Amino acid sequence: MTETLTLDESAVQEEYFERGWTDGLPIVPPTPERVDAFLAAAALRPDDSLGTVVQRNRTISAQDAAINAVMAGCKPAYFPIVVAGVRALTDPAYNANGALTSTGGTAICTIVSGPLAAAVGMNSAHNVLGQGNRANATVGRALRLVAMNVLGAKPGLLDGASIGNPGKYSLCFAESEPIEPWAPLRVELGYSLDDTTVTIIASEGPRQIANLLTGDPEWVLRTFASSLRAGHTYIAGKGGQCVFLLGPEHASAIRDAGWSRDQARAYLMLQTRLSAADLEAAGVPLESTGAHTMVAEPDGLYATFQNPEDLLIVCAGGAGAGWSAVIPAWAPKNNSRSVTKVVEIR
Amino acid sequence: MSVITVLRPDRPESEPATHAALPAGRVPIADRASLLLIDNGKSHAKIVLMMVAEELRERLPQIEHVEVFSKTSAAVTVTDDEARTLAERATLVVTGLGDCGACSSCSVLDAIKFEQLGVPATAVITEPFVGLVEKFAVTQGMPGYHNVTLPHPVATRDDTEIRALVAGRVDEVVRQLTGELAIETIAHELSVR
Repeated sequence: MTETLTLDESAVQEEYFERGWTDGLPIVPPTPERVDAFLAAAALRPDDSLGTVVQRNRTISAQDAAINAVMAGCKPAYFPIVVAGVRALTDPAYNANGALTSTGGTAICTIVSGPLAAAVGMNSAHNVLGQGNRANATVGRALRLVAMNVLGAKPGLLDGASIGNPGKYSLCFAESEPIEPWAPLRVELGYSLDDTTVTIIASEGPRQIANLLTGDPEWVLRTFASSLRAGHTYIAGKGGQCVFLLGPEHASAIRDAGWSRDQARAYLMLQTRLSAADLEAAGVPLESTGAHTMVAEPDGLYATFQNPEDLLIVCAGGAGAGWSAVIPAWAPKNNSRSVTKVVEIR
Repeated sequence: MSVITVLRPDRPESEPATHAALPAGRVPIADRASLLLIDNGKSHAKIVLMMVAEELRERLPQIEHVEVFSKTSAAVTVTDDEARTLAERATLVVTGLGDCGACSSCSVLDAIKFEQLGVPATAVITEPFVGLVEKFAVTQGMPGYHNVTLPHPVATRDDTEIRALVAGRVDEVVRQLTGELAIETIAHELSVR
């Protein structure tokens, strides 16, 4: 039974701040009525399990998620998306314990692909990673509050982040309709066009990619690659994953040259390989112990990506002058992998 | 002023585990003992663990065999199946090196798992993560669970420095694994009386 507090309404904010239940921002008080509305929107019972993180001895219930989603400022209609995100968070492949504890300070980068995203008003266009859209902001925030309050991922408790990044408040966006003839992310991942999916990846903060001067696909993709081949990128040369968020100009440049996304992936995989000398020039010694041992390919180069499916290429953002983003995974794949769950509409 | 009822977003038991767990009993080490090292693959982790093993074998000559289990990632714990299989042939366990958030938590979780399987264990971590692993121990029902703390960082030190750090901590390792003071410590204490 979840504990309730009876408070003077004017005192709720300070109480939640004092108890460490917020992310540093005010919350929407989670009254039983509001929580019940969220549970109804997802047709869930309070004690339905959304998943377990064994290393924390913690099972997340639908009520846990609903309370934190209310606090985040979600609408009830967003809650099925939050539920899918929580299910993904507790998937062993994501390794929530490692990702949420790491000194690397990971964001829960959340990509929503499908018709429900637009139906609830998510933003996939201008300022897609920025402020101002309630659904983007609060769905991501809900996942973070669940991680903090239910899984104990708080600084000083079980979150060991050294620096962190602003994506830890919320890093959630909707994929825009991809340009023809590309298929949306959910279809690439094997889901139906009619499904809505939530993909999460334990990530660094986003990096904006600027190439304002060319429409040549190889030049454009090399700009992306330069960020991921850099020594300061932890996954460089180590076999990780990354979200490549293509703004309209860059997506068009690739598509207009007749490239498929698989061709773009293949090119990016080649362009993000680096040598020991590249790392050394960036002041980074080769890792050479146990599971962290970097393994060179036959030509002596180290691959940042080992499989094409590790490059999650999605279209999003608004028309501009040639802006995109990369959102690298926090660590190589043996530490955590992206997870996708379908949003259940009951 | 209006009064409202709100729900707390965490659990009252979110700090301690719902049940207390007991560490393995400390008994005299029999001959032909086996020391298991859980190597998390961090830089210098295996070096540290092997140096710990060398020191332990000098102080505990009953240790006949040293096994090294290398995890696939420093950010994951040993699986339950792996732990059960390893525990069947381990007398003592040392895990490490916990010199970051995820890896220190997982090394301590590993040690606690072996304790729950009846095998004395400890985890080697570095100083900044003492508070973090203490919190994790609480979630596993073992508040106050021990660890062996080295100065931070270890990853950038050379072998000579690491050996000195390990030598300075091995008495603590012996005490944690056996519940006894190392012979040298007893002799030293007697000599200064």
